[in-house]
Amino acid sequence: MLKILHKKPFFVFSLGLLLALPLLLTGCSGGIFTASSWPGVTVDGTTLYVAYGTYVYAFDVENGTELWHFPAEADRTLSFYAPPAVTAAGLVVVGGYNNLVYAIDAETGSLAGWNSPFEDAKDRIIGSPLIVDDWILVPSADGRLYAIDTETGQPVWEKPYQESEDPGPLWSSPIVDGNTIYLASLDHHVYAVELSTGEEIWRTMDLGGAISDSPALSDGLILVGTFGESLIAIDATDGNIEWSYETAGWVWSSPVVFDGVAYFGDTAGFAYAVEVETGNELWQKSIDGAIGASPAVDENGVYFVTETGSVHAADPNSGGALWPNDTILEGQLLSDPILHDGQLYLGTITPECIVYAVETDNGRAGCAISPVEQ
Amino acid sequence: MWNSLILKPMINALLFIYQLLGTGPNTFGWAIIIFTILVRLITLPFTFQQMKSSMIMQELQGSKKWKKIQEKHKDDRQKLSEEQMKLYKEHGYNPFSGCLPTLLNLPIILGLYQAVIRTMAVTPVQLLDLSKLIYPFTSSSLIPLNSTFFYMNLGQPERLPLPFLEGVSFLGGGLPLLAILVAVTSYFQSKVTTSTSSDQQGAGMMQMMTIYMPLIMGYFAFAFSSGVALYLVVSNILGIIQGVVMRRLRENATAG
Repeated sequence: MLKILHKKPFFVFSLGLLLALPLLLTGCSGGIFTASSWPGVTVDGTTLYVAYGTYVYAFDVENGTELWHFPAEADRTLSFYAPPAVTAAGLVVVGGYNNLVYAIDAETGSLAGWNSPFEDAKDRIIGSPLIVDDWILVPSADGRLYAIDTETGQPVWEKPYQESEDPGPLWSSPIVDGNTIYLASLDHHVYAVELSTGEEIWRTMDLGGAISDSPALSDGLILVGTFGESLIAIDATDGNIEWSYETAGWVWSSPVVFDGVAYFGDTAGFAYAVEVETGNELWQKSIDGAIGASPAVDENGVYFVTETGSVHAADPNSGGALWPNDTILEGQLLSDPILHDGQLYLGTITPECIVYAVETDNGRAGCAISPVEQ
Repeated sequence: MWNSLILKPMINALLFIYQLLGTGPNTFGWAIIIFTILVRLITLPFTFQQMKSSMIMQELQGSKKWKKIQEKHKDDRQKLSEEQMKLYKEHGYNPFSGCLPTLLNLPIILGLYQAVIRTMAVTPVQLLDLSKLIYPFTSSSLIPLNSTFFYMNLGQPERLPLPFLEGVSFLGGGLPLLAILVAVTSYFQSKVTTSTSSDQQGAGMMQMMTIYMPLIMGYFAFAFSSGVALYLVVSNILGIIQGVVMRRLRENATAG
């Protein structure tokens, strides 16, 4: 072997190159070494649920103690990113990238209620399930919406929503108003669907770009952000466009409506406040880093998080900064922040911390939940 | 720098071809095929130079003069090296002339592979990343791409649905036709592009690589999205054609 190394440097170089190529290919693509998404975080009462990677975790929100994780034993074939939903009966419903929907006992963290996970979906569950009375609505990347009986886990109805031959992937949770479901699709359309049957009521025209997050409903208007660099208001009764507001980058996340104003950000790093009724801009400002999450809003402030780890607090009326400096955290902040008891809970992509807590008064931050050694 | 010089131009070129072809079903598959052909054409001079060097080396190693030198100086490594260098000079062969084209080709191959993966953007992280890789003049209305290519979803591993394989879970319920094609074409590409070593140990290792590399590539095609497998098949077929043409040209040149 040594003889070969000495005699044939080019041969050895080529051999190394060929053997390294598959590693380079997979490593550079981010295919197997990086996460596919960011943590899905939900708060229910005093329990914080985090779906991230191979586990779904439940933590006590007051002290950060882990209550349980699912599955109990590591299973590398599983990956969870969609924020879990919690039923009134105490079931934590979560969809996986293995196309299955699980019902977990909120108390114990073990599979409960259903005989087996719901397995009708043909592609990943990326959007959060929505609990509506006795049903769970589950969007799938296969372009179908599944209505499941909460108690049994059996399908009630399933329907594809599509403009063309192939259904566009559904990556976001639907919203429901009365007997109507509003559903945003990556195929550039918003669909209104009858809750009881899943039948389509109307669909919008092509909105000029994909819609990756849920619509927001306010005063008879459906608001969606699109990759066509706009926020669009749609009449909830017929699907006609009421107004459109142009942005600098893709609007990845849902707008949040508070007091008649829609707050949202874009991938170019701009934060916006737009009047829902008219589509008029109240303010816009540049923040450090692409905004991929919806802001958290209350009467005191609007809180934006960015891909570069910045947390920015703005005055809802003027857009002026509330803190002297933005809070900078380790890792990308792409999960929607959750406001709970004067704290912002932020899911992150960093090995040191799963969820940060930031005080809304002053921007002081600390790790609320650290990764648990498995 | 990698993104600006390699990845962004490739992704935007791929999207441009996709847009030109009409963005409907099957379009992205054809865009991958056309894009792979274009990139292989652009890198053709490097590839030819690399293969030419490899063939000259192979011819040298098979020559009587080479064997004579080996035998004569088998106990004096320094002298052997000197004589080998002399022989290289005589035949106008530069030992590094095969290395440079390989180095130039590698980032392009990696870029092409990444461009295909990243443009398909099948996960939220990849799609958000894509927003930063698209030029302002490339229409974002193209996103997400229609990933249907005949019976395949280019974002998912490919399986040809066959009734008798429906229950075979380790195969994923169908025949991994593209993965088989990747393995077979990788094997033939290795056969026509790698030179045989006169050294017994070297030849053994080369033979081992010719068998293992196609298996590794076939496994990647089996496990990863079919868009990448499609790229690998097209790339390998072009590599085989290049190899055969190059060999013919060399044979003609030597005979002449």
